[in-house]
Amino acid sequence: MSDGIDAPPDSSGPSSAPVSGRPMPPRRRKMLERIASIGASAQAAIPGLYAWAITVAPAAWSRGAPLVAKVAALVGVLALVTAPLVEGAGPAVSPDANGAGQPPAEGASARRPRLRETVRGWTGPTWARAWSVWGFVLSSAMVWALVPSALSAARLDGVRGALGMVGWALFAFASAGPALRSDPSLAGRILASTSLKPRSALPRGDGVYVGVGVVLALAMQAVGWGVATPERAVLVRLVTVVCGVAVLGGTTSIALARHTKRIPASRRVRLRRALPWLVVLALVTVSGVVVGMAR
Amino acid sequence: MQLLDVLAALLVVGAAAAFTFGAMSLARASDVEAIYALVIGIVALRAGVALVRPGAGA
Repeated sequence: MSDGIDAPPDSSGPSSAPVSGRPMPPRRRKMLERIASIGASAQAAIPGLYAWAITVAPAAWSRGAPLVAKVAALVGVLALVTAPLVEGAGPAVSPDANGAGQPPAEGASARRPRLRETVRGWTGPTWARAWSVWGFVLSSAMVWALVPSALSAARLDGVRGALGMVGWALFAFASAGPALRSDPSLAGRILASTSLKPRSALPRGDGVYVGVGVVLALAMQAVGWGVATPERAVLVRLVTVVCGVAVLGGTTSIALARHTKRIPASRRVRLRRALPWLVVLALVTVSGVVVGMAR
Repeated sequence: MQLLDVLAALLVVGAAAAFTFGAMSLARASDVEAIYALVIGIVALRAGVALVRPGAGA
């Protein structure tokens, strides 16, 4: 983890202006700067929460788990969530850092720093790492110790266990590594210019087409959740997903067809092109009705 | 919006309804009904898209 905090990019430089030339609203810029200056503990919190949800929470809330295990699990989440706040609240630079470059005084070269001095010299990121890593790991270990049966092979699914291992590995990697920050040299490559003009103005209404398609596709997913047979339940899910994708593709095709600048087809051509499908549709529908009435 | 565009929209919505009915039939283990409804949905969807496709070519 990097204890040194990089200075936020200069907002008055060329990087603050978007390529379009329009100034960014100050509120949005401030929010983006805060997101950009997010620390390593916040980045580690995401895989940590994932690992917690897969390996710790099921154990703490399993049948027969004591209340202490639930409290310990909540402490682990609290450690992960509050670590970024600790990182921002503490000093960014160690108080002893000013004297770090000076040669040690005579007679003090062999003296090792005491624990209290070491702790006093910790920066905000160091405190955040200690709180995040140790708070989360110890609370998780407490949960597993209180509910040992939750980790037995009979109750823990193999895939879930493997995914939990991946989550813990990512948490360890994100906690140990430095925070990912933007390359400051990239700001110099941005060229401020005038606003880019689109080749053509897109007509409105695409969102309505896509929205209708999404609603229709989602409505299909509400079907068939009460099927008892597993094989048929999987088949129903597969069919509804494929049908939803098809309907979404159809509505998207209709929306895109409005933007095409080619020669518009006449009504007769369009009808002639769709006639085979309309005939097949009529035949299938009529034959179905006839067969249904004959039964 | 032309009449054919309205017809195309109705066909797409009808295709979605046919798909839904097919899925419900499949959940009830009525396989023949399901296949029938799904075929109707596919054909209606193709017809709807073919109606709104621009260009003079077939």
